[in-house]
Parts: sequence; structure tokens; C-alpha cells
Amino acid sequence: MADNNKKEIKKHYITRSESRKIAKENSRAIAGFEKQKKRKVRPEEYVTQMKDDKNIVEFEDLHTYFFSDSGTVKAVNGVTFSVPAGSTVGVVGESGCGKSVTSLSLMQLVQAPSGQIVSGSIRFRADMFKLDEKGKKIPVYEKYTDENGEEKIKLDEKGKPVIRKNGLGGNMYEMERQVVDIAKMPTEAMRSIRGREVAMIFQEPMTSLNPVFTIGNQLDEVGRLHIEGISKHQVKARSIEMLQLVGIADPEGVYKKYPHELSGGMRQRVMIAIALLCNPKLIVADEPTTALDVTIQAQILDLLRDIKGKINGSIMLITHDLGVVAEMADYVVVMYAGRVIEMGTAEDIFDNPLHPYTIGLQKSKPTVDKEADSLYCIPGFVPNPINMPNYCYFRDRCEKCMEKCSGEYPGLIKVSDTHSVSCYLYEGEEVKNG
Amino acid sequence: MAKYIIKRILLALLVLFGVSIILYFLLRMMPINYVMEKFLPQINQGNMTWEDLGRIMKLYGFDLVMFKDENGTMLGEVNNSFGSIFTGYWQWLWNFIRGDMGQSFKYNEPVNEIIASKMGVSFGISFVSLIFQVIIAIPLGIKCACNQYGKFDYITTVLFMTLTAFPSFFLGNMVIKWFAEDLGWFPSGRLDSGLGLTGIAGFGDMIWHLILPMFVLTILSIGSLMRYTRTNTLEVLNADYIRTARAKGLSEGKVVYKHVFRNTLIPLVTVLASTLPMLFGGAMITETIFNIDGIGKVAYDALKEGDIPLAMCYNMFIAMLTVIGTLLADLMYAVVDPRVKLSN
Repeated sequence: MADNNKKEIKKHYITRSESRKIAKENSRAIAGFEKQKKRKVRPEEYVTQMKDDKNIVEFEDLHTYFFSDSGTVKAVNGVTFSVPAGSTVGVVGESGCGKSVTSLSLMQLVQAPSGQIVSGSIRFRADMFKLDEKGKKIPVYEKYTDENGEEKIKLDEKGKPVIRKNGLGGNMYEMERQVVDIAKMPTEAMRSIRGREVAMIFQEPMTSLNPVFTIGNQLDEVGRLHIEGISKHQVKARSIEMLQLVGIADPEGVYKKYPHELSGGMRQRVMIAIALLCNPKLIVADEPTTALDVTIQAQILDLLRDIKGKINGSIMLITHDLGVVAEMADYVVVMYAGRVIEMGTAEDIFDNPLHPYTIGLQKSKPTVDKEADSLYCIPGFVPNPINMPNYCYFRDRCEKCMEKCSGEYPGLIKVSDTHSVSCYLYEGEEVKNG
Repeated sequence: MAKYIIKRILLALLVLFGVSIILYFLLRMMPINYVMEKFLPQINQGNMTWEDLGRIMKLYGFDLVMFKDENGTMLGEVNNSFGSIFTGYWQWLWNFIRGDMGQSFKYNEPVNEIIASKMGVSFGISFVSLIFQVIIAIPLGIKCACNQYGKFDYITTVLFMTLTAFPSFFLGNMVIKWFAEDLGWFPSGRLDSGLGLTGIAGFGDMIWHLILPMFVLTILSIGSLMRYTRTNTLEVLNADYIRTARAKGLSEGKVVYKHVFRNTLIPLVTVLASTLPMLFGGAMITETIFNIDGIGKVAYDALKEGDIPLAMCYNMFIAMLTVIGTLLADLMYAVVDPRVKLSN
């Protein structure tokens, strides 16, 4: 008993020498990762190939850790899933299970310096600018055929070649469709993807807009940054067009307003407008409706669905609300304590949930058709993510826990073409197909 | 807006009234009085009687109480009973309202003229040092916040906080010792070399004399402003809208100097507006150490020697500047932060 107590104490408190050791190791690790993010690399180092060409994003064995003073927090611990082009993927799980960190990793926005992508890869298919030997973008010039039938570059009055305009009114450059590994990309290169190819909508519309700049200023900023050569007038027109697209009734008026003059729902619409401005291929929506009241939630979700069709992009929707996922998602990824425990199409997960955690989540959702005195709740809490043991993290809360569960962490088992689960209950039910 | 300002000004008058009562009573209760100190030697030598002094004091508006000690020697002191001070205060207030600030005992000139003539130099020194403070401390603070707990952060913080911790008389004297006496680069005080230089040469000469005091004033205040900037920048750096700015793809420089800085500016403006009294009020200790004939030194002498009208006027001047400074800070808030609307 006494021995047991000692162990218990050791688990919760760290001695001074231990804490010093942790701090030392942390600062070394962080320095290494920060250096890697700042280094200058040639694009070849982070350009890769997709495993499946249908996907727009593939996460593979992603590890994102927080080097905290009390130890390394493995917030994302080996996550593998993909987002097929043109689809909506819902990522669900309790608070603190790594959903947001996964999405922030995709944007390289994990709170540095303590938070770092440690290993794994995030492959993203992006339209990258083609660069010449000097590392400059190659413009596409306006051409015409003269009377001799020869193709010539059009010149303006000053004799300079005229650059062709793209659909958004900016200069056209030679583009190249590349698959880049965001986990290996330096921050410098990542910047041209952020806001242009992937855009993010955050959880808190109330605090996500800068309070001292007008809505117009914050929208125009994105246009001016990513659409090179666009005129002031065109930027404004584009911003107002976006405000209109997200269903703001008085776009010209809102353009001139400050964020505090708008309601939460309006601000979230503005956030969506900012995200849409450069026609991104992927929108990452991190709990976009959590902070809004129910009627506005429905409107925002409708808007997101609408827009996905309009820009022909994909959405990665992070939420803890199963109702939202059921309504929106084509594919569902269930996360628990930094790992994917079950994934499949929305039908798979809702009609045939396999993992005891997913089943528990489903049961704890309020329904109208069943009469119940109190809502089901999964016993216990998400475990402390520091020094996690190597067995199923859900073991201590699981109703169907078996002897085998004390063994190694179960791998993902494919129970159908689209549906996989990481639980010993389904060992042997694997489908094997090429 | 106009309504707000008028309301604030009326409130300020009330504050100044209260301040003037406290100031007058405090100054009168000081154990020193310029007139008395001036004539005491003559009484001690026997050239003058206490009765004579009493009549003179009456001219200056004081009551002299005479009494005998146990040896039977005649002694006198200023009547500091509540009633006497109160009458003195009424008189001062009545004159003040009519625009008569009184005559300095020491200089025999109207005090407002004295203050006006000495303010220029003090304002010049403080203003230049404030500009240097701002252009050094704010960028340093921002840089420290961006490299929180890095080498740069630790080094600058330790260095400037150490300098701030020095008392001004200590740093002033050390600077005089090193740069004026040992190295001989700069003069140790005063405003000019006394060569009667005019024009550009005269101006250059004055600047040369003022470099050390300005240096001391700047160095002493960088630390606190830098720390203040650092704390505020850190707070803003963790805000959600900074993450949004990064998610847009903005460069780190743009994020920091546009999105972060504009928000850091909000609390900074208040601090800067409240330095207004310091700007005009002079640096009492620094001016004294460098023997600069500015308003700070004049006020210091007036307090030391019991020149009550001058000390009173100086302190009221500072009080007024403080009140104006806070009003200005509130108005500036509305300018830099669109969320603040000034209304009643």
C-alpha cells in the first residue's frame, strides 16, 4: 500500500531536477524545430506524391507535440486520414482530443514555440507558383498574332510587356500543380499557401477579427497579399462581392464597419468571406458554430454547404457536435486522445458505429424520439496526455474492456472498404482487398 | 464629444480646488518660511526686533506669534493655526481666481513670469528625452515580446531594468564623473559655456551642455516603458485575431507591425499622455544635479527655501497638467480604439 502511494505521488508531482531536465530537453527540441522552420530549402525537399490522387489532403502518421514544463504533451499522436477532393470530412471528438491541433498543424499555426510538428507528413495538393532560377515568379504575358501570323508579346505605351490578368483581376503567373508536404515546409513557403490555397475559419468569431481595423481593411488585406497586381478598386469590389456571397445584406455598409459593430453570426460570415476571398481549395472550419446560438448555427452551416458547391472545394470540419457532422459530412473521423479511433463514411459511423467510444458518443446525444430520464454519459475523463501508456487510451473508460486491451495499442482494422476502427473487439473481422 | 469634454473640465475644476487646499495647507505647515529665514540672522545679531519682523511678515500675509522661553528670551514663529492658514488660503484663492498668482519672495517677481521663463529649457530637455525613450523603448519592447525568454529578451530586460533601478542622483553623478570629469567629453552642468556665443554656435553649445542630462533622463525611463510595451505586446500576440492574421498568409513583420502594434498602442497612448506633467514640469533632481536653471531646479529651491507663492504656483501648474494629461489620455483612447465611444 505504502509503495503504491509513493508511485501515485510520483505520477502527479515532478521533482526539481526532473523539471530542470524537462526544461533543458524542451529548449533543445524547440530550438531544433524552430531552426528547421526558418531554414532555406529548395522546393524539391518538400514536394512529394499523393498516395491517392483523389485526395486533396493526406495526413500520415502525424505527431504534433507540445513541449510543456511538466512534460511532452502528445496532442496529436500518429494521426492518419485523408480528405478526398470535393468532399466534406468531419473530425469529431471530445474537447482536448487533438482535433484543433490537427487542423492547426495543417495551417502550420500550432502555437509555437512550445507546439511543434514532430514527425509524419501532411500532403497537400496545391497550385504553386512556378519559379525561375532566381526564385522569382514567371509572369504570363499577353500575346497577339501580327499580320505575318507570328505570335508576339503585347507591349504597353512604355514598351513594357503586358501581363495577362487572371480571373480575380490580378497578374497571371505560371502555375504548377504540386503536392507539398506541409510538415516539412519552411514557414516562408507556407505563407503563399495560407489564405490562398487553404483557408481557416476559427471557433471564436467574437475575437477572431482585429478590433481596430475595419472589416473592409481586413478583407482587402488578403486580396492585396495574394492577388498580385490587382488594383485598389478591384480589391474592394472583390471584398464586397465576397460579403454578398456569404449573405450579408448590406455589404457596402458592413465593409466600412468595425468588428464590434457586428453580431457574432455576422462576424462569422465575415470570417468565411475572408476565407473565401482567394478561392481556396480547402476550407478548414474549426468548430465554426460552437460560439453561435442555434438558429445562427443552422444558417452558417447552410452557408458553408452552399459555398462548397460554389467554389468547388473541400471542407475539413472540426466539431464536437455529432448533429453538425451528420448534417454536413461525407466522411467522419473520430479522434480520441490524439489518435484516430474510427473513421468511415457518415453512414458507416452513424448507422454502424463500432468503437465503444463512438457508440458512447452516439448514446450521449440527446434525441427527441426516445424517452429518457437522464442523458447517457461516458464515465471518466480524457486521460492526461503526458506520459501516456502504450495500451488503448480508452481502456479505463470502456465498458467492453477485455484482457487483451492491456496489450499494445490496437492498430486500425479495416472492417469494410470505407470503414476502419482501432479496437481489439473487431480483430479478425478485417476485410482484405487489394 | 463636446458635452463629454465640458463635463470633464468642470470635474477637473473641482479636482483642482481640492488639490489647491491640500497643497496650501501642506506648504504652510512646512517648518520653513523664506521671509523668516531671511531676517532671522538680523534678529540674532540684534539689528532688528521681533516686532519689526512681525510687521514685515504682516506685509507678506503671515502672522507672527511671539513668546518667551524659560530663560526669558524673546522668540517668534509663524502662526500656523488652522484659522490663520485658512485666511491665507482664501486670500491666495481670491488672487488666483483673479489671475494674480502672487509674487515670489525670493525673486520679487510675479511667479507666473518666473515659471514661464524657466519652462523652455525644461520642456526642451524632457521633450527630446521623451522622443528618444519612445523610439528606443517601444521597438525594444516589441522585439523582446517576439523573442520571449530568448537571449535578446533577457539581456535587454536585465540591462534596462538595472538602469531604471538606479536613483537619478546616483546615475547623474556617475555620468558626470565618467563623461565630464574622467573623459572630459561633455561639460558637467549649466546651460552654456559663458562665451556669449549666439546663433547656431550658441545653440550647438547649449545642446552640448544638455546631452548628459538628456541621456540620464532617457536611460532612466526606458526600462519601464519597455517592460510595459513588452507585456502588452505579449498579450496581443496571443490573441485570436493574430492567429487569423497569420492564417491569411501575412508575413511575420506585417503581423507584428500592423496587427499587433496597432493594438499595443492602445494602452501605450494612455501612458504617454500621462507623461505630460513631466514634460513641462521639469526634472527636479536631474536639473539640480546638472545645475541647469530650469523649472525643476527653481521649484526645488522654492520648496527648500520656503518660497510659498512660487512653490504653490508650480505645484498647481503640475496638478493642472496632470488633469489635462488624463483628459488627453481618455480622448486619445477614443482615437486609437474604435470600440471606445466618449459619451456621458
